[in-house]
Amino acid sequence: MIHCLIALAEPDKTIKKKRMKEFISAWLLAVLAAFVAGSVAHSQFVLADLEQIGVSISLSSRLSTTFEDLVGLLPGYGAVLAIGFLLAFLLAGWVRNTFHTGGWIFAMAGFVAVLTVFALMYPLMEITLIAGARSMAGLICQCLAGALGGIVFAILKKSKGEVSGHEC
Amino acid sequence: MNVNLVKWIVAYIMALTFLVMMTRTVNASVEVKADYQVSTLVSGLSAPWAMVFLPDKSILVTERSGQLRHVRDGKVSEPISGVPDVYFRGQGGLLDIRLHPDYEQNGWLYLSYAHGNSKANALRLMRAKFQQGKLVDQQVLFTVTPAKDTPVHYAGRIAFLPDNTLLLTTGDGFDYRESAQRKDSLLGKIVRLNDDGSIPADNPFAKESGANPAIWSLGHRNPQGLVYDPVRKQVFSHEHGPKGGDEINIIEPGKNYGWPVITYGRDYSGASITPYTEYEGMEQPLVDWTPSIAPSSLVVYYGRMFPEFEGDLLATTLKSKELRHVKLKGTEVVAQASFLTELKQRLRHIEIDKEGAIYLLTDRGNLLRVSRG
Repeated sequence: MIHCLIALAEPDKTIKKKRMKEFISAWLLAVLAAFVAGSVAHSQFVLADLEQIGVSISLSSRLSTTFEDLVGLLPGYGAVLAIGFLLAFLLAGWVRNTFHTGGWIFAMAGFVAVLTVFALMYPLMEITLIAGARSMAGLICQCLAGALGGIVFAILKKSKGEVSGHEC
Repeated sequence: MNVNLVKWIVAYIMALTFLVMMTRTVNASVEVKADYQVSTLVSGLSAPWAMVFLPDKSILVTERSGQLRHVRDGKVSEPISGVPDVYFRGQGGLLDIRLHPDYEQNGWLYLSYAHGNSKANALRLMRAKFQQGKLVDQQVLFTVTPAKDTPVHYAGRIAFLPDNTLLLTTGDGFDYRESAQRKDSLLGKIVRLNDDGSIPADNPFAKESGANPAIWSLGHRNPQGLVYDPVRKQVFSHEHGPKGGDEINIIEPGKNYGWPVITYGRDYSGASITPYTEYEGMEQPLVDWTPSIAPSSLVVYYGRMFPEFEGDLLATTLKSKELRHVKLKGTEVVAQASFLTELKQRLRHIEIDKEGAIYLLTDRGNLLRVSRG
């Protein structure tokens, strides 16, 4: 992680700015990918729970609820994912540079970041704030959405040609 | 502007400020607002949740942390012995207290409380007799099933009906909201019991296969207001919605009040609870409060001190820190008004005494009396 911070603070302003921009754009797109996947999964689990108690859900209701959840969850869940990913990717970058792991480390970081977010949120009120993650299957889907975010981050960083050295 | 005039205005404001400060210092426990008086009878209670008047006009107060206290002539007793161990966590603990309608003959008082531990807890109802300053003859009457692992949404209000059966509200446990629609679960219900805890044979689902016979109504979230109106002969209840969607409902046996299939609220996360605000076979609320005011207890006011409230609903609130006056014409809501907002306190419970004075418990640990004349 220290390497990453050093990289971000490199004296060469042009390189520094470029790397910072690349990091931020990859991070934001990773957050977006994980958030969209997580939000859509959340909606489907909640609607499935309603169907299980005999409520009929039309396709249009499903689509509108899924869209409304994207809008409704973004300020809170989106922000929490953004913070979680920032810390997770910085740490994963340090691990990757130190132990020369593959890009899969970012997928794992995304998975663990979401799991950590849920683990930290639960003690606040001892309830599950994202209803779609109340079941084990729902929680795993959220974590897989996190892993997807990590994969997006890894791909975007790779496509920028930063496969070794100071990338993070 | 004339300099002397400015001096006089400044002096006038300072004198007024001084007078107000003096008034507060001399008698901090009494505030006179408009034509009613708010007196602090008791302070320093620990998370008081409910209260009941005894025949001698003294008061029993439950503290959520598990103590029952006797308040007489402004003095608070030590914790009364014989109270069951409660699960004090989150929103759980010692909750409501009610006297049997024939209390003066049989001496039974009823307590609701959270029972269990972090892995398995539930709302429980017990009764006991208050004799020589302690609870005796304790009987556990009823425990909500299934147990849950969340320390929230117990509901827990008790109200007696004219036939001496009682209603008990149960919460959905938050993480188990769909259970409010399942008739084999007692989460998110209002149940009706005989005064000994047995289940009346004429309950609406008593003969339905697979349904819990205790259920009186279903589709509730966290109903913390419950009152039988002896004049209208109807039961009113209010419940906490999530973000928005607090409701008052007129409760009738066998009816489904919709949670979580219909609601005007959204989840705390910002997500939808459901696509629907209406659904076949589910009741619309008498009142929807969106945004939430967090209603915590309910009475129908009958008394001589506040004739403007006669026959209307008064609900204490936590979030909006007020006494909400819901004016009724028959069972139609014709107006609403906020009352006692100047107290700026989360109001937890309300009772009316025989003279019509309003008694309030607050989350700051105060027992207040609002009176006129």
